[in-house]
Amino acid sequence: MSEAAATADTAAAHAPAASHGHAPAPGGNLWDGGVRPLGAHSKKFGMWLFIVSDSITFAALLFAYSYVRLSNVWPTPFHGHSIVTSTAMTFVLLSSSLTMVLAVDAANKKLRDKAVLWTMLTALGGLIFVVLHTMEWLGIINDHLMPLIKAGEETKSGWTMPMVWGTFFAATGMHMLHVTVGVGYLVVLALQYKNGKFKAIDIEVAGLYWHFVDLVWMFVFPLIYLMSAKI
Amino acid sequence: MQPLALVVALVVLVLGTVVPFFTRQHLMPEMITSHGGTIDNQIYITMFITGAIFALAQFALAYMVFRYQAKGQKATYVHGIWWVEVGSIVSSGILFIGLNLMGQGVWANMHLKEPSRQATEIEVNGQQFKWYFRYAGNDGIFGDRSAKLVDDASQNFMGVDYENDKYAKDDVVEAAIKVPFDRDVVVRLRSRDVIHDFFVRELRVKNDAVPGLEVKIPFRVDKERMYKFDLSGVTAATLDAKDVSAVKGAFESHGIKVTDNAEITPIEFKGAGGKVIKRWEFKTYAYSLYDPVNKFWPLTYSIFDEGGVMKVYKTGYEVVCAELCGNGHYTMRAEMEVVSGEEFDAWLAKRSEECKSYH
Amino acid sequence: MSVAHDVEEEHEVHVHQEPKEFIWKYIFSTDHKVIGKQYFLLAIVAVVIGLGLSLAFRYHLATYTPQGMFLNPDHYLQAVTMHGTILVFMVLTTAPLGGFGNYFLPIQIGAVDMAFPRLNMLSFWLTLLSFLVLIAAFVVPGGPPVSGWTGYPPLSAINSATPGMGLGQTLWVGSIAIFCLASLVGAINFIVTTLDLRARGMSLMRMPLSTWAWFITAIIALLSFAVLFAGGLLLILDRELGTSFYIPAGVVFGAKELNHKGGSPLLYQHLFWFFGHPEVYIAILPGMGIVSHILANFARKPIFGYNAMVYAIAAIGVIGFFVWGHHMFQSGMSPYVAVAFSILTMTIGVPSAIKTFNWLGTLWKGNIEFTSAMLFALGFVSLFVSGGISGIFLGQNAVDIYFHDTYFVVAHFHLIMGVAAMFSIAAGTYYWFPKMFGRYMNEPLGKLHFWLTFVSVYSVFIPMHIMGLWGHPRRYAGFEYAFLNDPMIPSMHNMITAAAFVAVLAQLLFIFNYFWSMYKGAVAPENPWNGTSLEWITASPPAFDNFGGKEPVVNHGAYEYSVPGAEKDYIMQTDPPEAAPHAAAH
Repeated sequence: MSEAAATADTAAAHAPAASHGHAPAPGGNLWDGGVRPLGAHSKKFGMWLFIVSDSITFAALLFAYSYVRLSNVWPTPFHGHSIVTSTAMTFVLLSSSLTMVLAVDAANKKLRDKAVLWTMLTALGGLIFVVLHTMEWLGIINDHLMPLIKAGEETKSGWTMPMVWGTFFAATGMHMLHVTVGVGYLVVLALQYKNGKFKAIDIEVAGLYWHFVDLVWMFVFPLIYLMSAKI
Repeated sequence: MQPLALVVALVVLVLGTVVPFFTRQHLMPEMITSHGGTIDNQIYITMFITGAIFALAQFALAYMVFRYQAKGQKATYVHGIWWVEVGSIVSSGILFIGLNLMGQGVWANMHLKEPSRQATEIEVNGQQFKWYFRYAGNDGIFGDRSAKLVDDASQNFMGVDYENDKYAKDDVVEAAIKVPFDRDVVVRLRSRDVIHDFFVRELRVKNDAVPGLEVKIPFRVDKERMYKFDLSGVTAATLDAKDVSAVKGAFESHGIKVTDNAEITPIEFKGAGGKVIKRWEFKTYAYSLYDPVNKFWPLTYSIFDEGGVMKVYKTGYEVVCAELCGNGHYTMRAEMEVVSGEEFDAWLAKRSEECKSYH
Repeated sequence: MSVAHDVEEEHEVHVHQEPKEFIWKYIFSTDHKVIGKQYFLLAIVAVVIGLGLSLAFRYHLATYTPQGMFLNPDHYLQAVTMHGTILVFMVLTTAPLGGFGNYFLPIQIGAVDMAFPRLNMLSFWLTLLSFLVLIAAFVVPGGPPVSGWTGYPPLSAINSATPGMGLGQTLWVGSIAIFCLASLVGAINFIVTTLDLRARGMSLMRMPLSTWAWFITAIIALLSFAVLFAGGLLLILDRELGTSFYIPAGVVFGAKELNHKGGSPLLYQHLFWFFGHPEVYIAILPGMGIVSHILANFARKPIFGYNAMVYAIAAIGVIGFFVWGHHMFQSGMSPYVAVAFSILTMTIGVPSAIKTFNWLGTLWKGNIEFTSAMLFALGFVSLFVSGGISGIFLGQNAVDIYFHDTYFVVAHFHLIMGVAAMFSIAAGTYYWFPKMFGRYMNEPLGKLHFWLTFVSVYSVFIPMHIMGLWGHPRRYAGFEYAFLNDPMIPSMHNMITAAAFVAVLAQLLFIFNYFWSMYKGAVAPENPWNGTSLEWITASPPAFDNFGGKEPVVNHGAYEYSVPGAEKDYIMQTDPPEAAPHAAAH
């Protein structure tokens, strides 16, 4: 295919990338140019690079968390309600990974309507996660932070956020930001895929992002919640 | 034209850089600690090696530029010579890493060795933009401290718990640091607000003082390294008479400017066993180049009578801050005085008693 | 996947026509060449501000008296902070990578554009936003931060550490966080473009060294800015939401204990320098690539040890991530860790030494033409040696006990990361200007620019080494010490200030030449310097799709100069294989 495209000079005028197929020229090497050596669409490769970079950001946040956790006496504020909610959130998020897989599969099989449906369901899963998480946040702010803020106001000494909540909001907040952005991404994607502007590959790339966000939660959940749970 | 100018520029650069480095006598300030010599040696070895590399590389560049300037010749088609490349890897690797390993002994002595237990411990406290120094006092134990007790109005800058901790009552807090010579000393660096850096050039000691952290840095001042010169023809009686004019010539001939307000102060105290020990402090002043009327700093020397010979030592130094700590960073300075062990003990015992009765 | 499906997928990225309206053509353009120029313009604006600030604080130091200071100590530190931040982020990171990289990386590999043109545009506009947020710090109450370009907490984390200021510091952190996002997007684009969009025959080892340098730099940016982003995020939380990541217990301001507890100032330093050291290479690696490219061109010789150069760039990229601790030898970090960092730091001298050897080897037996571009490239080699040599001092933990945070450090990193990088930018500009604008820059003016700059920057920074040996700490707004009242100190400060004025004014000459030549310069042909790489087969300036509808096919390595038996003294990469029967296999 790449050979054919390379000789089609008119087509190459504005789209020489057409020559960048998945197979090298005869006798050529994968890395000799004119082909995508990794055998993946550029968008997919780009998303992988984003994931590499983003996981380093999360790693740095979790490193900071471990750093302060190890140098302090750490409380165990999560019990009962928090654990139930966060387990439910985990379940919803993991389920949304499954619907994402189904969306990618449907898109690759050119089942457009099905792919849109599964993508929208994935977004819905993300949305439920965000709503549950926000409720959880509000609960924590009410139960744990408001008393401190009030006390700070009364004594006029100002208030500071205890380390355990600082790390909690930093890590889960960063993750929730990713989920929120992801929900928007999926909704736009589903609509644009429906009217043909986006392709199957775009669903696949979004799938990579979504699975990554899920994976990050699988680090955040045990490290932030379970390790600080009192049962 | 261009190549020749470039050659001249590179030659001037090398000579202009290397010559001052090799001829200037006081390239670095004097050094008075036992570990300082090893640091200086490492610096000078590095300077020698890198100076040679620097000169060679710049000269090589100048040579290439001059020799191979375009004169209608055809360039030689060569993609590289393997042994040059391997050679450059191996030689630079051995050189750089070897140089580094040579320096690790210095580091290990300073940071990795357990400081001597007999060492005199001095707590150094940085705050915006002052240094305060605490000594454990006669009991040899630092009292507890807490940030809650900090009260600048009553001069409790580091929150020493004078009320409840019996070890705290005799602790001595000063705005200048006094260090005994020929004794192991450990400074415990702390900060109460932002990061500061305890730097005394002549000690070759520099380390950050970080809030929430205590860093211990050991050193030992060698008296002999503070030695400047002998005062010939001067007797104890002249010095007791505080006659500056009698010593002015000797000081000035050693490059120490003696100002009109310079003074000699005899200092006497009883050492262990009641023996009276005496020295004379000679103080001249460095006037600010920018504000020579209002601003000046003391330059302190001590004269010791050693078997009838009057020997002059430089005993006054400056502590500076070397980590950006706010707008007053450049003013964060303290005096450092180096005294004999006996004098240090006598001084500390007296100050400790005073502080105890005050608290 | 069916073939038809495949083709459909492949087309979409690159089918775009040249827009006609001004706003889409020049402002919100997705053309990598326009974006490259936009980055370059941003860098010019930033460099004027950054260097102007340096003149302000140099003038302050030269005319200092305790009563009549040109800047007060706050303003002095603000100028120093903003000078560092603007130059490191908005000039040294944007011009060589965002500017030249964007413009020439796709062309040098034979691509029509970046892999993701729209992301490319996003990356520029994020960078501009970051710049505007940073500049906004000048106009908010209290002004810009005073905590240096490194922004160490607690100084940068607690408002009461710098009374009356605060918003400026928050904007500073915010600006850096936005810059991280911009760099991340840009880096992804560079990496994918380099690997996926190379023309046929453009194997990795045929890429010009400039392309290699941009590629490796992008990888470094991808990995390092991610950590700075996390570090900056936590700093914002500490400042605005009362967390204590970087603030330990027992911190006292205004004689009152703060409620913060549990954090560590060293945590920030680790996160910052994990980015900060690779950042040095982000600034200098593209310069190394550009200079290699130019040296070969004007020496009319193949790069000496091309493979070694590639491996050296890659090695610097890798080792650069394991040496950050050498910024923290005196920080209270574990002294055992310091030993490891110190040894690793010295190993990074090896690839740097290889590069120097190979530059000299490239000149050796050459036929050197002294254009302005070549002069700046040669100046770069000289500066790289001078600045690199002082790194041998600072990389040794024992020696750093004395030199840490003195003028020696300032001189070291300015020579290597500031001035050398600036020289590579100037060299690249004189070299590629004919391609970018179809006109030459004025050569006599260029040579004057070189000589003024070369002499003045050395006059600024060589004396600073000596002041460092003297123990002069950096970031001092005044001289309130006995030891700084040695008459040598003010006379050197005066000399440095005078030289700094010359150095900065010389850059105005350059900027004038740049804009003047755009309209008045002599018209340049396609290949004005008889170069070999793909940018020289395009029109000057290149067509919207770079190669005017032709698809380049590469048959030669990037530096086939003076091949024996060939007609011309250069073989272009797209020349047919038989053009150079005696060329070494590449």
